[in-house]
Order: sequence, then structure tokens, then C-alpha cells
Amino acid sequence: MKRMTSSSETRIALAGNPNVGKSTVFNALTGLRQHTGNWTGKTVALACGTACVGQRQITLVDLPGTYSLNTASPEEAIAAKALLLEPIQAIIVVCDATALQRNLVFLLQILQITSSVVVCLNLMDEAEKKGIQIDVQALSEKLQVPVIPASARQRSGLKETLAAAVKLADQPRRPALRLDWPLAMQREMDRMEQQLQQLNPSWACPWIALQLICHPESALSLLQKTGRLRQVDCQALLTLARRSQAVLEHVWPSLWQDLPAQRFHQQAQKIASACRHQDPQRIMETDRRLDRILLSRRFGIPLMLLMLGGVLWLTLAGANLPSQWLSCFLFSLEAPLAQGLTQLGLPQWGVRMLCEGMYRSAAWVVSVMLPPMAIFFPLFTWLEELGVLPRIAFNLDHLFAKARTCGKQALTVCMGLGCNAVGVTGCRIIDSRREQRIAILTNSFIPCNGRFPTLITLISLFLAGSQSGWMASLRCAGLLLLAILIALAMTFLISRLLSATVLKGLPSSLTLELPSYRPPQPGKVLLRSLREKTVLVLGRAISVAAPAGLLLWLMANTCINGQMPLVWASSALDPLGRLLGMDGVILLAFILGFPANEIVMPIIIMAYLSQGALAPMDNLAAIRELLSAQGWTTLTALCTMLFVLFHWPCSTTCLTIWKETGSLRWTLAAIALPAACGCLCCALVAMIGRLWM
Amino acid sequence: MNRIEVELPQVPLGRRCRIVRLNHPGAIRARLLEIGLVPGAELIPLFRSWAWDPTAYLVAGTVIALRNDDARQIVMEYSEDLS
Repeated sequence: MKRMTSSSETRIALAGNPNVGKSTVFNALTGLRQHTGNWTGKTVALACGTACVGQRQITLVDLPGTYSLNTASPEEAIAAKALLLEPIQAIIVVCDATALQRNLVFLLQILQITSSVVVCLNLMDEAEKKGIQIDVQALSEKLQVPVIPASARQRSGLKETLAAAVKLADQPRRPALRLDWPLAMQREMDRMEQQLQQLNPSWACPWIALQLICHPESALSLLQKTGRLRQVDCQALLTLARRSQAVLEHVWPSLWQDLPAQRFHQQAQKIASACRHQDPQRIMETDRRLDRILLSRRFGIPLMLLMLGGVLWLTLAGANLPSQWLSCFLFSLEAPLAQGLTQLGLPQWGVRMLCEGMYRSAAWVVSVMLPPMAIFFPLFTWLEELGVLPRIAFNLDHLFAKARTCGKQALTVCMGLGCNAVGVTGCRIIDSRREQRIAILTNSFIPCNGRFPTLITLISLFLAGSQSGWMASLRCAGLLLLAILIALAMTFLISRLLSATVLKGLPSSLTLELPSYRPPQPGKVLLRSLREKTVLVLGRAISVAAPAGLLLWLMANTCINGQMPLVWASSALDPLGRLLGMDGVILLAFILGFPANEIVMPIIIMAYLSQGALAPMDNLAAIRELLSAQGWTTLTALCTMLFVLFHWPCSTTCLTIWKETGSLRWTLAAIALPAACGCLCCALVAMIGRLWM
Repeated sequence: MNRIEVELPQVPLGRRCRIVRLNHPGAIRARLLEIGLVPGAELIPLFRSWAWDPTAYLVAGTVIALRNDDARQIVMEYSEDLS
């Protein structure tokens, strides 16, 4: 490989096992903000970023975290392809110091491609806390590459890593590390390598040779993607591979295919135990102690419910007052705004449209959503960082197995609680296509954060009783938890139904990693979740709430044939609404709330008041009176809540589903499924309720 | 020393054991091999979930949960007198 001058582009790849803090390293080096969390599979696509070393611009390519480079899993194919075929001058391999042995396996595989590698030994601080000492010098000597101890979260060791990688990138590509292979294996690999050397010198590495021998079809299709492999050569390589396979089959009947994996793991264990000193008693003791509680057969599930209930309660109790303050403050700004706009020379109807239409609905969304989000998201991120989510998946897996789906669906369900669009994206961690589809289709059954306010309002109005204070919020949280459990039960039911009908199949295998607990940094978590999630979701909500508010205002303030469109539409929907135990206004509110579920409740109130603009909802008693006057009963509230849980996903989620599945049919199915389910539930409850009352 | 060969879910919790062979076909086998479930590797069952399925195992320094249906295809050996 030719020497790179400083003017040409330097490309450095960032590789590593899942969940080793690779994204954190990438973010720290590039200043980008990819989301990170303590569970396997957060990064699922190739990301590029730029880092600066002095005057020089370095392109960093972040590969998906994988355990190895050779399987059928799409993310591993991406990683393998990028490492083998992209013009990359050096590779930074991020390793988890607390799980050195397993990380070494992946590292050894990369070293079979090239030794232009820098090892970033991340999470050194965690390792120290766990009583693990790593002899960095010895490790570096054994692997014959630079090893740099680091802690991405403390931002130590990162600059050194990058500098070392740049130094390597400026040198010619270094050949692969030689491992001890059994003689017959080595001979076949050498033969294959020689053949490769003649075709393309940059392919001549033990890794490609090994892949060609063990999985000739997939390896050849990878090489063909470069476009430099002629059909004749392809055939020659295949013949050679078949010959090697026959030889190896003769030496180790039916066992030779496990040999490479076995060898890498043995080597890794040998190196790890030589360079690592740990107290076997102390290691993972805290983890096991925590696991004994969280995964306990008796307390595991109750504890999870308690945790979720606690988060909901904190959100409810904490958000109440700030919500009122914010609402008072924002609505008090409206008069000055109107004044200012009038002075600018806008006509009266324009001012009203902007203030009462756009500003009010945006102000509403902010005051209703911001405080709960500012509490819920950090708490959720905190649990995520800690490593609780995979434990939840462990506890729930049996139920998902019964529904014939993947246990990792529990992770996407948890993410759906924050935002369904995020949950749908998260479904990429599920390997089996069938199970992934099921997880995507059922994700919007779980109520997202944006639907909480409506649920909470209805619960506190009709179900939680009239007392106020801590007790009320506790009861409210309990009922909200119940609603989520109903949604979860529905998820299982529908998943099972899908597995039996449209997406028929048996559950695929599950390998769920339970990472060691990482104490989160409360301050950083708060900042990051505010910056990444709260601001993002809020921005999106405002950007849809403002135009929606405008549309609403127009519908409530114009007349067609002497009737407001809002009234006209709601009376047209009324029969269907009544059938579902609600009324036309509520149904219309759900339709208008398609861009953002948060504005469903405000629209209902506005339509009832028929005052042409959203009313501030700071007085619960007044709202209760208003709703009762419109004929609301507990049954209406119940049906509305059910419909909040099960109706079509919001616009953002639909868009995400469409992007993820790449098919209009599945997107429509994802819309129709919860909608049909909600209609059915509501109609049933309404019928039973009416008979009973 | 008395060596016993059993399927993985039958190994009692906390008992150190060794993988003899994997009976899985193709893709699943590859996935298990790559996370360190290779013949000869040591393994300790740690936790069973409330429903006995899945079970969490300590292997190659990490904790991995497997469903019992998958684990049944893994043949283990352990000796009675070792803990």
C-alpha cells in the first residue's frame, strides 16, 4: 500500500464488540452525538464522522458492533465488508477491559486481516473498580500492536489512541499477525493465500483465506462486490476451497468447521489469562449480587413493576407543579405577542390565527409535555445506562417465547415507552426477519410518553378519585401502570396471533447478553437525555402542533354553508364514535392528533367549548364539569383511554415504520392492526358497559 | 473422578462444566460459536428465570442468556466431585 500524504483523505475505522463504548469513543472523537446505552446493538449502521489531529482532518468510520466478522447477520456483513473492501488505512479496535477475553476474539480476527491496528482498551476505570488489572505492556507485546488504556466516559486515552492510529495510517499497511494453526489447516490457508496473492495482493491475508475455505459462497460474493474478480478466478477459488474442505474433512471429520472459532477462543483465553490479574472471588461479585435480586425468580417481576411504577410516579408527582407554572407563564405571554403583532400591522384575523391557533397549541404542547419528559427521559436513560433493560428482557423472555417471538422484543417495548418511533428503529437488533416484523407491528401498542398526558388527565378526572396530593399521584401512577400492563398483555396476544397467522413460524434462537452494571453519571445522563431526547421530541411535537393548531383554528373559525367544519366533521363521525363508546368529537380529535398524540385532549376540550381556540387546562375540576356536561361518563373515559392505547401510530412512527420495513404494505398493516384492535376493544367495552349500567 | 455427559439445561446452577459438542445446525451454531460457546470452553449456569426459561450462563467472562430449547442441543460434561 502506498504512503498516504497528509493532503489525501485518511480513513480510520472504529471497530469492536457490541456494547464496549464504541459509540462513546466515536462521539468523543468526532463531537457527534450518536445515542449510546448499556446494551448490545445500539449502533446498527455505518456512521462517518470527522476528527481533527492538528491541522489534519481524519475520517472516522464507525462500524456496527459485532462479535465476529463472518456470519450471516447483516450487521456483521457490513462490518466485514467495510474492513475488507473500503480504503481504510488503520483500525481502532475498542475493547472492554472488563471483558477482555471475549473482546480479544474479535481483535484476533481483525489481526488476521492486518496489524495496522490500535487497541483502545476502554472502561479501564470500571475494570479497576471490579478489581481487574491488565498488564497493558504484556498485551501489546503479545499482540504486536499498540494498546492504549482509556476511559471514554472520562475522556482519557482517546487523543492518544487517535494519534497512534494516525501514525499507523501514515505507514504502509502492516501484515497480519500469525496465529498457530494446526498443520493441515495452516497448509490449506497458505495455499489459498498464495492464490489470492496472484489475484490481488491486498486480499492476501489469512482471514480471507480462512473465510474462503470455511464459507466459500459468502466470501466470494463479498469479493465479487469489489468488481475486480473475474468469473474464471472466482471458479478457480471455489475449486481450491472445495479441495481444501475435502482435505480438512478427511483430517477432522465433521469437526473442522468449528476449528477456527475454537482456535480464536483458545488463543483469546491464553492471552487474556497471561495479561490479566483478577481476584476470581471479587470479580463480578457486585454484579451477581444485584442480579440475584433483579433476576430473582420470586422478586424479579414485582421489582420491575415497582421500578416502572416508581418512574411513572416520579414523573407524575414531579411534573405537576412545573407544568402549571409553565402553562401560566406561556399563556401570559400571549397578550403581549398579540399586541406586538397588531402593532406590526397584521389584520385582526391574522393576529388571532397566529396567537390563538398556532401559539396556543404550541404553548400547550410545551407546558404539558416538557416537565414529564424532562423527568421521564433522564430516569429512563439512567436505567438504560445502568444495564437494567437486558435484565427486563431476561425476565420477560419466557412470555415472548410463548408468543413465539424474540426476547429482545422486550428491549424495543421499553424503548417504545419513551417514543414509538425510537422503538421501531430499535427493532433492528432482532435478527430474525419474522420476529422483527412482529416487533415493529406491535410496537405502537405500547403507549409512548406523548400519550401519557391524555391518559393521566383522564385517570385523574374519572378514575383516581377527588383527593389531591401525594396519595392521588400514587394512585394515578398505579392506574397508569395498569394501563401499560394492559397494553403489554395486548402486545403478547397480538404477537402470538401474528405468529400463528400472517407471520407464521417458530421462535429463532436467542442469545441475550447481560452486560455488567455500569454506574451511570447522573449529571451527564441528565444533560445528555435533555439534549438528545427531550429537545428532539419536543421540537418535533412543536413543529407538528403549531401547524395542526393553525388547521384547527381554521376549522373552528370558518364557515362552510353556515357550519363550522369542526362541527360538521364531528357530527359526521358521531355514529361511529357512539358505537365505540365515545363520540364524534373524540374520534375527530384522534384523527387530528395524527401528527402528535399530545394534542388529542386539547382538541376535545376546544371543540366542546366551541370557542375557536385552545383553552388552558389548568383547572381539572372545570374540565370535569365541562366533560360531564357533554355526556361523559366513566365508560366514555374508559373507552377513550383504551383508544389512546390502541389506535393508529403517530405520523413520525408511521414514517419510521415505512423507512424500516421499506414496504407500504407493512406500514399500512402497522396502522390498521392497532386501529382495528382499538375499535374492537372499545366497541366491546361499550357494549358490555351499556348492558351493565 | 466420575465424568458425566448431559445436556446443558440439566447442569445444576453454579456447577462449573465444559462444552463437549454443539448439535445445532448452521446459522445458530455459528452464532453460538462466536459468542464463545466453543467445544472445550468452560461454562457456569448462573440464574434461571422465574419460568425456568431462559437461563443465564457465565461463559468467556460474560453472562449470556439462552433459551432452554437452544441449550438442549449443547452437550456438557462435568465431574461429580468437582464444584
